[in-house]
Amino acid sequence: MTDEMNEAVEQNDSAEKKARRTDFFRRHSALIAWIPTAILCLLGVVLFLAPIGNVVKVGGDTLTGYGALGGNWMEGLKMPVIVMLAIASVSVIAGVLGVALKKYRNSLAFDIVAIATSFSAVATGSGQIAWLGSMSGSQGVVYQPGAFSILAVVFGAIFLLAAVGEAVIHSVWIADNNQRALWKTTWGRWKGWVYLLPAIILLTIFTVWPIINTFRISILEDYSVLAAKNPETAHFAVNFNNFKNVVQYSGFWNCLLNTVLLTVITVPVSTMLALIIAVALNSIKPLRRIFQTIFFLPYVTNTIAIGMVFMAMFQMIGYSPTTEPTSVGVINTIIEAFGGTRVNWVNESSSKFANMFVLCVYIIWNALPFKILVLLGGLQGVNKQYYDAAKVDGASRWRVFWRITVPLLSPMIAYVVITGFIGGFKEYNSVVGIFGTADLMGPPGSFGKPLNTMVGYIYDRIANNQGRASAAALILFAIIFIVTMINLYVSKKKVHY
Amino acid sequence: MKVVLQHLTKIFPSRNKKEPNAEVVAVNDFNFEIPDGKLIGLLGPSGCGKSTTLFMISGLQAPTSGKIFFGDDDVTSLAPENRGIGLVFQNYALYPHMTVQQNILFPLQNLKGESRLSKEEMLTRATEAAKLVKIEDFMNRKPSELSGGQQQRVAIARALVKMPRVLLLDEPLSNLDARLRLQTREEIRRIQRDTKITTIFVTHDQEEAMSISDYIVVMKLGVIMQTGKPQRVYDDPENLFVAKFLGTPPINVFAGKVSDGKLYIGDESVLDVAGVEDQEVYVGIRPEGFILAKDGRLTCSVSGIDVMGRDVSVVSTNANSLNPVVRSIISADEIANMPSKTVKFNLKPHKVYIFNKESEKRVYFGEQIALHAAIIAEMEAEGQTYVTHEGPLPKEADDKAQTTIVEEKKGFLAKIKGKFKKKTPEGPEVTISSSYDTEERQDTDSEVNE
Repeated sequence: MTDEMNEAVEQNDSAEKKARRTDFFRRHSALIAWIPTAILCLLGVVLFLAPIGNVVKVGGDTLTGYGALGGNWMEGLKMPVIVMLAIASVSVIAGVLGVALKKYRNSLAFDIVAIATSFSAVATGSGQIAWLGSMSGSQGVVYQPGAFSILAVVFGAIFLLAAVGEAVIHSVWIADNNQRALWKTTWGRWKGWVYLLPAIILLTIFTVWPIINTFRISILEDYSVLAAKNPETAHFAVNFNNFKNVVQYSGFWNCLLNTVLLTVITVPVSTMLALIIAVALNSIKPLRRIFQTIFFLPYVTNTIAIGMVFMAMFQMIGYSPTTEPTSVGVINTIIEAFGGTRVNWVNESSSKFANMFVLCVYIIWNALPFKILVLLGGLQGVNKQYYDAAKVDGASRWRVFWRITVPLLSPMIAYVVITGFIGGFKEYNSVVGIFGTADLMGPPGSFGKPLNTMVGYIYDRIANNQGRASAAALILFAIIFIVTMINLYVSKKKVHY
Repeated sequence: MKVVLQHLTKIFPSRNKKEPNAEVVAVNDFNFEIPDGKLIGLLGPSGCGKSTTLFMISGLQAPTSGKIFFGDDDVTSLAPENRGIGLVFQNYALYPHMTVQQNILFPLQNLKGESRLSKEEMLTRATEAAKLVKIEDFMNRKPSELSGGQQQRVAIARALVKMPRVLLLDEPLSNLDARLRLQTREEIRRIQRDTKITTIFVTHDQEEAMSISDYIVVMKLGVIMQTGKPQRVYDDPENLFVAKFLGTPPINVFAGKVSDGKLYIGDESVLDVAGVEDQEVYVGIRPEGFILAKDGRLTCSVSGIDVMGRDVSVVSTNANSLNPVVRSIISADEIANMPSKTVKFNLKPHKVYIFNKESEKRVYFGEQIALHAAIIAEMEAEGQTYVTHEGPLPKEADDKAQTTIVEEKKGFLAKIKGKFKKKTPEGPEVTISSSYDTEERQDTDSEVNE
């Protein structure tokens, strides 16, 4: 039925279509109709979180959250909950009736539920604010309504308005079948955006805003949350001194160098290794699954745990510059077994070269499984006939690899390299994993965090100077951005999609 | 370069460990000589081993036993690249990241040592090959920017550029639409004539095979059923399978018997077949073998008429027909004489084939005996051996191994389902209808297969 109507509506002439587009309610009724019903769950959460953040100071005591509502915290909820339940049951009955009558099956029941929930949200929020307010009459009581209570009121009010509006639209405007069909096409046009809305809201709050805030803080000289809280120190000059300070700090250049070194060494090596392993895995049949599992193990193992294992393998136990070790570690044992001399990998006064070597081995090993997984997946998607064709064409194995496998895998290789570079520039926990502590960031007995990375630097600054941390983060962002742009530029020429 | 296949056999081992005997004999003792410079069509329903045969000739698959000769060279154990073959895959397998030119150049660039050409020579050769298949204007395009027919021609150019001794085409037209298919098959014919390269191509489409092949090889379950010139095989099928596989609309098959030199379908004596022993038979009648006659000897009840322009196809039913309907093609002029309920036909003797019910082999009678002898003589005069299947025909029952593999592929659920599946009663009728109950048939003539 409705499909036919849709078609009928779509076949209308374009003038009418235009008129329809300009009609505000028509365009937005779908959006408005959806929000109250779909946000139902969100509102439920808001309702029960409402008391959080409420603060009541009684004499010397500070009561927060549900406690702020005293022993009778239910008082703040009781009224709206009763109202909500009452209206909700009415709405369910109405909905059932509506479905039974097949008249308002899509609209009315939802409208009533929406009105009920938004109304109860308003009621809860305002009820709690009123409750807290009533206590302020007492001696020495200061109240501060929590953000959720206010949210409940604001959201509730908006949705209440929307729901009522939508109900009006439904009953007055979409009552006849033609209009309802029209409404459905409008809904079809907006549906995608409407479904995206929750994700957009969350991303805005937790991703977009922090990014904007980082830009803001980076140009406030020596901004810190503590200083911002204090009215006397809460004045920050707006300039680029944060960037200047970061760049002028000698430790920063060390961090940058370490990060770049680790990335430049580990990404190409691990990609090549992963490619070789993936091709090898793809070409064997027996034991493939076992090998696949073995190569995949690092992926499912905790990074810090792997770091500790690596440390144990490279570490010499009981070693200091003045004493002989009781154990030299697996790696040194192997080296000595082949007649080499042992290396001080990670112990006190070990060389930076040795430290970096261990780090690189660790990072490469850790990065392999994901890359193998992606490349193997890509390889298995390659049509076997290309290889048959190449065989008939007389291509050697080497040529098959370079002229067929690599180009056909190039999208995967590009993906692995780009994400590898981005991941490499964010390297931090590998250093913590190997050297055991975030305060040292280097072998025991070292000073000034010789193996610190960019993320480590930012992390260190976050504690006391968010301004510089933001500036450093933006510098890192710029580096990653430029490198990724270069990657994309190169891959545009070399990648065959 | 002639290609000789001697006792070529390919057995795929059982994939189910519990049933080690469930191996699949894809190609069974294949003996054939492909003459120099001819176009040969390997024809058969899916699963008949035609592609396997092709891949064994290409060297991509090793035969279990038997030998392959190109001319006098034994190439059985040679690697594909050393055989001097060009292979065109069903979906062309053009390298998607290379341009047309790079695709065509690729086989040349792989050459090593003395046979390696200079860059200019390679380009000249590639351009020549491209001109031959008329794609020289698209040299810098990627395969994805070409139409299906153009891709097909690029694939042929790539196969031809190294001047192969033998050109192999695996279902070359199956990915093209009907119109393009007609065009491209003429193109393949032209290219083959121009280059005079011995060409073997595989198809399940009998029309395609018949229209361009010099010779066709009809296969069933890994066994050659009959070889010969397309029209000859059509006119003179050796057994019921070949008769049923060739021709659209398909041949009408009736259960009948020969008694006292007369051929009976039901109670009606439809044809005089003097000299044939009394026996139970299947009667195959080509759709064009019916003559509308008021005093006709075969009676059918009319269920409809399909008008196809020049001809008219009368759809009728007969209790003894093994096909759901009897299709007979008559001239459109005769349609005025058509009765509306029961229709009577006389039969053209050379369009009626009778097959022994047990062996399903042809029983020749009358003028057919002389024609058969003439066809064999003609082939031998051309230096071709006339190959036909000796001994009992492969039946679907032999096909059990194949079905186990199929079931295994479908997985555990299918296996369980199979256990609860009703057993179909085994009788001659079931065997017959399933023998040409192939996928390909279904789309050409859905009415026959219910």
